[in-house]
Amino acid sequence: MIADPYRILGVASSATDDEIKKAYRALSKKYHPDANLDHQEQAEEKFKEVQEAYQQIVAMREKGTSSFGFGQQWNADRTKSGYGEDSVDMQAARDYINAGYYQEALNILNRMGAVDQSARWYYYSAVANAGIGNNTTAFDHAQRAVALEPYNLEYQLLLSKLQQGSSWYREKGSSYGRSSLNTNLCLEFCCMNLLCGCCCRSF
Amino acid sequence: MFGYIVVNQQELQISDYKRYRAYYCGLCRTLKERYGIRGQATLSYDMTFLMILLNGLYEPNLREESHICALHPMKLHQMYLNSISEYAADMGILLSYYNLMDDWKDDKNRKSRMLARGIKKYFNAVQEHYPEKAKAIETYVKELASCETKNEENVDLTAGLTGTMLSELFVWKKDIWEPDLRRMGFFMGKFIYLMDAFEDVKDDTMTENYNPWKQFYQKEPTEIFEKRVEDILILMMSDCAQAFEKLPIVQDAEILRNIIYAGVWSKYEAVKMKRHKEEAKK
Repeated sequence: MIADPYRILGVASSATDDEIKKAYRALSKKYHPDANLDHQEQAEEKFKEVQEAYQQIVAMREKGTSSFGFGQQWNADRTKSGYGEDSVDMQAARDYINAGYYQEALNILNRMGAVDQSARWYYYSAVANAGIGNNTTAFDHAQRAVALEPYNLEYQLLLSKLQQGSSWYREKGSSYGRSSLNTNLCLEFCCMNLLCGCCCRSF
Repeated sequence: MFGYIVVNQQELQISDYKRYRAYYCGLCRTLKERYGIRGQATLSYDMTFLMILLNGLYEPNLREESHICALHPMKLHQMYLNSISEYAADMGILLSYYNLMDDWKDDKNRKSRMLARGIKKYFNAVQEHYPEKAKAIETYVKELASCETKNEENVDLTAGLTGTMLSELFVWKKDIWEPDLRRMGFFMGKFIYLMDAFEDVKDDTMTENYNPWKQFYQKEPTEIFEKRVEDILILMMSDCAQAFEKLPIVQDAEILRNIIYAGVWSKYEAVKMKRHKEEAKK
């Protein structure tokens, strides 16, 4: 761990993602071993430090915003009151999930699947599936968990976490002309733009 | 592969479009230099994307050249070439060979076999150079066939095979960027597979071929079915895009984002529109 990764990249902690990427590029060029044939070893050390600093910043920022996907930590921490209700199998599945062994967790869940398709089962299955990149199943099972127990905050949180990524992507898409591809909707979109033009012009 | 990974040209700045062309022409040139006219025929937008992505991540020197090309002999074309265009060319050869052999096995398409034989010696050379990549594609072809015979209904499972294969091709070097590149390749691969299946679902239903969408296509009204497909495709691309945003890419980032956020949907919209028109005719 680097104590202050921002200092290594020479940027303020308030820098935008783009500024951080640019700072990384400038430094990685400067310290690239191929560009420092006279003192390659020191350069390589510095080069690695810059890479680490960059990755550390990315990881830190991800925690703050939306972070999900396989290869990353997915947790199924239950509230204290819920802990005791889990069956032995369910506890084992939860422990595997929290240790990052998603496939093992799924093996247990699938074995018990036929008898116990409770909201909890779907919840754990959703988390474990997300962990190994089965995003379709993860989404489906999160929805089922919420449908079975609509007032469970944890299930709701998981579902909205999964939905967040899609809405973020849609938003980005509109700035790259995703909507102009859809010629069917195009007309509708243009009309909406006209309607909005009077009240919410952004310039 | 399937040519879904394209730019949304309308929204691309002219300077960026010129760069995009230069990469594309560079890949074409590399294929011709290394593998002749038969190799050149394997040129694809998918591999062009990979080339721009890896160039953005590693920023090696680009060799700028201008050549006349056989298709457009009146004009000099600007091209970008380097070791990454060679890598993308090699991966294109591997993919095309397996693709052609698969068509031969499935449909007894003699033309495919002939074309595959035409690039066989190049394929052998690439396979020797990149045994891991070749193995990944070979495994993929085999496992996909077994999923099809089993009539696998889990969409994640069949699509994940293409994902795993593509994630291997995205890794040019084993270094700290490997996990994010793999994630990108994995979800883009799933997207490609499901997009391709969406395009074929009508034909596959009629010919009783395997298709992971068939179960929904048959049961659900068009609108609901299309909404389902789109939601799942968006899940794939949003995971792919998140992995992309984590990489320190500045060079040509706008071209890559244009492809990731919009371009990849070009075919989807075209397929949807075609289908709606056909239905309206009925």
